[in-house]
Amino acid sequence: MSKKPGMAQALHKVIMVGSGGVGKSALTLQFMYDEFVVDYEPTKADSYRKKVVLDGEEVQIDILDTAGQEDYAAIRDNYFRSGEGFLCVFSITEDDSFQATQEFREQILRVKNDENIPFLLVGNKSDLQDKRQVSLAEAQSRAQQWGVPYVETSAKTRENVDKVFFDLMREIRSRKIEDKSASNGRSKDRAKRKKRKCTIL
Amino acid sequence: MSFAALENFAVDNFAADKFVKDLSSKCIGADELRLQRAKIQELADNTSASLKQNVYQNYIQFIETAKEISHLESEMYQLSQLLSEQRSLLSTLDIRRSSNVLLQNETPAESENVSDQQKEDEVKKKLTKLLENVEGALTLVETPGRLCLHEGTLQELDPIDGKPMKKIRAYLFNDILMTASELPYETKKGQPRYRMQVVYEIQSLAVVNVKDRGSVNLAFKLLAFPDTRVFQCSSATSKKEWLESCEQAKRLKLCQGNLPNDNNKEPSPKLERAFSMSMSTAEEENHVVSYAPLPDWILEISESLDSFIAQRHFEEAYDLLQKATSFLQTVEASPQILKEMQGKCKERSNYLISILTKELESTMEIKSLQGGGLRSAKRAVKLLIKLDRSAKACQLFLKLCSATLKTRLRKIKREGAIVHYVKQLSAIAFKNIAEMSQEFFNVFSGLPHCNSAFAVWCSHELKTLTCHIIKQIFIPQVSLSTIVDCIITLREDSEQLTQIGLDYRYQLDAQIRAPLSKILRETKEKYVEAIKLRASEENWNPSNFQTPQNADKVLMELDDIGIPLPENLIKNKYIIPLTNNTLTFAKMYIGLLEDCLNLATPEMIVLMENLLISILQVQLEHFQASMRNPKFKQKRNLIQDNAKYIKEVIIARSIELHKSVTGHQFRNLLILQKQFSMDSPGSPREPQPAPRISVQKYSTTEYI
Repeated sequence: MSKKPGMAQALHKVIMVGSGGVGKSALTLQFMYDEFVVDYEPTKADSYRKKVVLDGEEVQIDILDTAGQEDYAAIRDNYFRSGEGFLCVFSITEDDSFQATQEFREQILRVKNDENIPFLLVGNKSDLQDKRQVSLAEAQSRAQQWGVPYVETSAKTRENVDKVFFDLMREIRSRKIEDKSASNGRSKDRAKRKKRKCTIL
Repeated sequence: MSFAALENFAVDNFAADKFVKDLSSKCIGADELRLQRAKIQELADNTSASLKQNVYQNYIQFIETAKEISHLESEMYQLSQLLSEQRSLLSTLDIRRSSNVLLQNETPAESENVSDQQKEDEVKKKLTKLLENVEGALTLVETPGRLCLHEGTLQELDPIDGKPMKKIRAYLFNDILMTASELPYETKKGQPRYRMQVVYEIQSLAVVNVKDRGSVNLAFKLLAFPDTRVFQCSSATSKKEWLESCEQAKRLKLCQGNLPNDNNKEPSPKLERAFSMSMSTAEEENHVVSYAPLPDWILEISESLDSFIAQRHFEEAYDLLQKATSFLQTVEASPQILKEMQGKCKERSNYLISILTKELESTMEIKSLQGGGLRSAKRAVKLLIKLDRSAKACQLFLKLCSATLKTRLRKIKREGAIVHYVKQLSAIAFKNIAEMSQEFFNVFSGLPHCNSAFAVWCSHELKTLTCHIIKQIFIPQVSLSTIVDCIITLREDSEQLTQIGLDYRYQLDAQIRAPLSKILRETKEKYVEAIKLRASEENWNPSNFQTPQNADKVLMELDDIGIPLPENLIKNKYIIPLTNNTLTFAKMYIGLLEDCLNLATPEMIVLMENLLISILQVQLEHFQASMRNPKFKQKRNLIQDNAKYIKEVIIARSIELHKSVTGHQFRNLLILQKQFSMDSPGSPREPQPAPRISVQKYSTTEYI
């Protein structure tokens, strides 16, 4: 029953949400593999996992890259339920995508039933300043109204890409520490169960 | 009596003669007979009225029924189309599934016999066979129409650390995904046994493609709160097959839920290829596809378009349609699929058109209640134009304009003076039409064939407006000067339309010609009567105004309307040598002249001149009669002064005004002026009848 190092690693589940074509996958792929995908192909639902060092601690990030448009609300809710933190992405060059963030926010709050869920509002495509439709002030005021940080990114130039994922992971981590202290017993239980599974195998 | 008679009529062997005889025998005297006759007559009238009523009602019913039938017919047609599409879809699925099952049972010969006509219980039997090795899964067979899309063995992984857990068997149906765990013992035939674990609804099952590079390969994730399960496939193709099947199941479900008339595009290319699947390893060979598959967006075009349309993103729908149409023209694919896709695009484009049309029609209804602007309709109209429906768009747009205009005009309340009402009506109508024309030319720029429709529409609207105004103003209570005022307003407002090239003046004049002629004739009679009445009361006294101020006031007034009293007639400061009658006539006549000249059109001028001459003649005859009247012998000087005033000032002024407006001489009046003389009563000369003759000389044709 030796404790494997992988077991102790924290796993932070991040969900990418936002309208189609705002660059959720581009941000994810840039973060995962340092590459920028020029070609656009709508995502169905992809998940990625990566080991990263967060403030000196090795953790795993699980990214669920969702489709901009999901036909079934129940399926969408299942995506949201599985997440611990959300990157709500819109394109600063498309006002509609910014307006859609309101809807995503409401859906997430409804599903998670938690006002303080780790959440970042992300304005992507900041390299396309000349096509900007959503002003910085506009986005900031919405973020302020929600009580969440607002970051502008560019999946193309990698600007702030790591920042949004790491900021979100930090929020998730501090949130988990809070929760743990609140309900210590349950998390212990979960740890026990995991150990038992290992012995069977 | 009459009701009893009615029953008699209905009898088969009814004899009219006998009936009449019986009836008349009972009657005593002519009165009673007449009464009977009246009753019979009444009966006949009632019967014919109710007969007419019945015919009318039958006719109405017939029309309604016919409408209903055509409605039903189209519904039946739609239904049958839906059904046939569903059947082809199901059979497609069936072929695929049955080949799957048959291959599994190593009886490939049967697969050739699989046809569209497979019955429900056959499907059920296959499902039962499929699931007979799964414990606890028998209830799944009960759901009608359930088909197995995919099945296979998968390795379940720990969702947290990705360690392999155990092998499971998964079955994907068209509506659910079922997982079963492997049991340690086998069936009698040596096949593995399973126990059903969980059933997930397709509509709420989130399937996630796990794209890790490294630790976990070939896996996908199922999210069905609170479960998160990770499964590993044995090969890349197997994983692809699973993901595609799940996606397909979801899309199928969506099609059935929202748009039952939508076919599934996936199976058709796949149909032709052989389906081989080795059950023991759940591995599949790569399939040979004869041509490159069409991209997803084009396969999903119906769904995308429908969702755009449902969300009212009509522009996006249009763009997508355009994109698809140009794509289908260039892409290389099997002609059958191409044709199918083109059909789909066409169908959706028609659907979009019908939605836009409905949208506009409903806007029309709402607008007719609210009287809102046309801006909201512009979007739909522009799209309709883009979709090559400019004529329809034009028609709907103009209808909408009509509705809007009507509502706006209806808002104007008829309060107070009629002039005020007409002025408002005309101002608002013309302003709106001018605005609408601007909108119209904006929206329909580059479509010259729509312009004529607009011109016709304008003319129609204005005709309606004029009709309405005519009804309001050409009534006995409204004076000629008010009518003149209204007509001038209309003419002035209609000038606005000349900027867009529409001259409405001619149409307006044509419309008012008839009522105006009538009113002029009536005015003439009224005036002649008034003059005669005043003439009979004439005492031939100069007007005494008591004070010089009052006299001055009257003189100023005459001066103002251009008929000043000649200096030589002014005898003292408070007496004016014109009778009250003459003063009234002078003012009235100049007023009438001005009204007439204001309305003068080439078509009307003759009638107007006629009117003016006739009235003047009556007044002049009065002077001449007075001169001859011995009663007024003492006052002949006064009479002559009055006549002179009328002749030299009023007639001169009339000729001057007439010329300034029409640009030519008032010939008849000139003749009248010349021929009119105030001879002393000694000579019995009658006034010349010349003017009247010369009036008749003026035929309209000659004038024009």
